[in-house]
Amino acid sequence: MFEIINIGDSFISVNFIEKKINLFEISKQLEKSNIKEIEDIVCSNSSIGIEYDSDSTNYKTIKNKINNHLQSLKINSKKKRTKIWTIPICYNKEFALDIEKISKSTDLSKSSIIKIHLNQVYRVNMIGFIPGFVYMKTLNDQLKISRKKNPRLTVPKGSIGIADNMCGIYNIKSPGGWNIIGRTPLSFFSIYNSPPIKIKPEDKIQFKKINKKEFFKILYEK
Amino acid sequence: MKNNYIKFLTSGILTTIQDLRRKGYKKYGIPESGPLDKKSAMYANFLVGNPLKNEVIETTFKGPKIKFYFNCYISITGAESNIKLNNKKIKINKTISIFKNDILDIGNIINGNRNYIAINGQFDINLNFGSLSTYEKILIGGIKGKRCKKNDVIYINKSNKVPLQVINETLIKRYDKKNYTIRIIKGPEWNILTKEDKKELLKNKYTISSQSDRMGIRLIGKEMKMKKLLNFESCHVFRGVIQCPKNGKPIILMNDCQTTGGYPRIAIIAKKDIDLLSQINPNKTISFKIITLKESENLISYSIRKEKKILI
Repeated sequence: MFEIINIGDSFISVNFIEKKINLFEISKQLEKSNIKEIEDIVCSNSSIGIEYDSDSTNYKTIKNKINNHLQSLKINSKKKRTKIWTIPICYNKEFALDIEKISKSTDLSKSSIIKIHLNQVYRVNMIGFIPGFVYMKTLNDQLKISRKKNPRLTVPKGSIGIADNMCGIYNIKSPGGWNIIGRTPLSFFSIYNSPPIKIKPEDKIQFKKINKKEFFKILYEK
Repeated sequence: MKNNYIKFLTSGILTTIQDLRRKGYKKYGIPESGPLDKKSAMYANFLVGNPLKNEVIETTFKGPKIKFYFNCYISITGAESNIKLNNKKIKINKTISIFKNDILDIGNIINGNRNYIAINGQFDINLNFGSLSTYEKILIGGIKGKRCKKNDVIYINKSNKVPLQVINETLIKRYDKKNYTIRIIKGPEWNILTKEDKKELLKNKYTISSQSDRMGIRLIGKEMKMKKLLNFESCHVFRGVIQCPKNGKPIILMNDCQTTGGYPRIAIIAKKDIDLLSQINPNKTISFKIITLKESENLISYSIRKEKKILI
């Protein structure tokens, strides 16, 4: 079901073999476990990463605690009811910075690209790399494109990008190497909120096309 | 107390407020930040009777000039620098009595990269996510999310009188060597390295690049060729991870690094050596030595036991 390995002397990775598991739920359960040496828990594609205080425990001890706790959970494949976000996206060329490149690379017209991108319910599988960045799967095979060889120094906040088999949202302005397909006027990340981002792993995302006028209306309404 | 404050007369090259409190936010993509040399920061707090995870001022290379407008106790730890109090050279790693109108000048570094200044008490600044650690990318921590600038003022909630103490010689690190052996534990993607790569990594010296910063330490040296990598998915990364991007030049991730990464993790720096690593000057060299997890854990517990005997 899962395999526990160490990464260095202060971090554990719980690698799940079963792909349909709700990792986020499990990470929440681990947080409730009262294993006091755990300092942070992060979900990634198919594993849960656990940072622990190696000054007060060792790998063998905490591995056992985590293993016992996971065994005691009723981990089932049935996913709990998760939130579905409808995210407005504007594909206007001033926001769709890499649409020409994507069109060339996939041999699809701009309207086909948009149609394919919209016609998918994505599953959030990770938050990370930069604050509030949302990784989601699975991008339609036809849109498959690798990361830019020369990442941009600045990707505008709200940009939505694609890379490999994933789609991502840049919730803060940042350097980035994903191919930008459009932009959302909504903001999901704030340093004044707790938690700072409301979108969670396992949430579902559906995009909804808006035009430039609607984009600015929503942007200024916030 | 609105009369207890410090003022920055100059900013220094990169002066930021850091503490060891921001744990648990990597899940939102927010790094832990905090002092790069954790031990030095904790010792600085110890010397002024503060909780060890308390905020400190981290200075980089040339430090700031700070004026104190109240009587207090401070301490300075970390790099070997030209530090003056009221124009007189002073020693570090001990509790220092400060009187109103005293001026501290951190000055130029001799060996090492960063100094840590602690003041007895708490900084009167709002916390972000339970911490004052500065992370300018999203403007959290510090003074309105930014590094300390000229004319910035920090009010201090002073704590009680503290006994004058000194950090024992045996706990103080020296940063004047030309080469350091850094111990590493094999990473999950260690075998992405070819047999030749592994030999070269352990045989050659790597130079600390001046392009290094709080996100990562870049190395100049024998590049890794690596085996062909198919579809490597983003994975967990954190302080101490040695990543190997396509160009084969290893990067050692530090406190402000991203929370997930798309490059192989060939090894992880042993916890005992990360603080020291952060103080090795650009253009000095390091050599890698492999140790096991068990050996690393022994180093950690030995270190804790040694400190317990000395720091009580």
